Amino acid sequence: MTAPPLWAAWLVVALAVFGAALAMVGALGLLRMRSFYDRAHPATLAATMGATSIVLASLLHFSFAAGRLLPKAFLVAVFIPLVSPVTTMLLARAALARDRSQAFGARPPQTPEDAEWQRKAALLAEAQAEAARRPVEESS
Amino acid sequence: MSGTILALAILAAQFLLACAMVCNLWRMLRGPRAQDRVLAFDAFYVNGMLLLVVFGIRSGTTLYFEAALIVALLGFVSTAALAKFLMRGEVIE
Repeated sequence: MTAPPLWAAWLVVALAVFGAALAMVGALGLLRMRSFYDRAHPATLAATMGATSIVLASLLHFSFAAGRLLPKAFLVAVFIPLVSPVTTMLLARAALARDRSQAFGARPPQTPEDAEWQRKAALLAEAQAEAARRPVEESS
Repeated sequence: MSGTILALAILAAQFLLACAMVCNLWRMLRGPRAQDRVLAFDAFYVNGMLLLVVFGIRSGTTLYFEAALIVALLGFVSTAALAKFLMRGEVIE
């Protein structure tokens, strides 16, 4: 195992620290955002750019150490950004279905967020009923 | 020279990833609802996997790639199953 050149070490360092910082920013966003749908956005930071840059740093490090390209690391670098949108989509759809079924009074509110959703859904249902009752007169 | 830079930077990256995992863990414990916990778990296993890869750079063996791949696969399957459970109330219908 020969020591990698200095510029390669700097590249590895920059990529690794950038990826880790991106993961940290995503985690802070996960703490800071208010609703679930806001939180779904920062959670993807670590999975896409963070994972890509850290795995790329690892790939560069081991490729320079071995003197040849190691294709093994590409598996992780391709797999994680590929499946992360799938899980986020599944989760967002599940959350949407849960919000819809809970918003229409299926059960009592459990959090302030729940109560807010139920209030909005009640307002919407009221407005829709009002619109259905009103006779159509403005169409000439 | 390059070894020192690398060691310091890997330490910094490990520290940042560990802080990110603590933040995700806090969100997983706080909730407030089940989908928030599952989302935090998703981010948590991705950060754990990245920590494994960084640890692999530090220790100098490529064995950690396989471990990271297994963590990624199992995490994907478990998150998909949890999302299905939240949507339908059952994993396999």
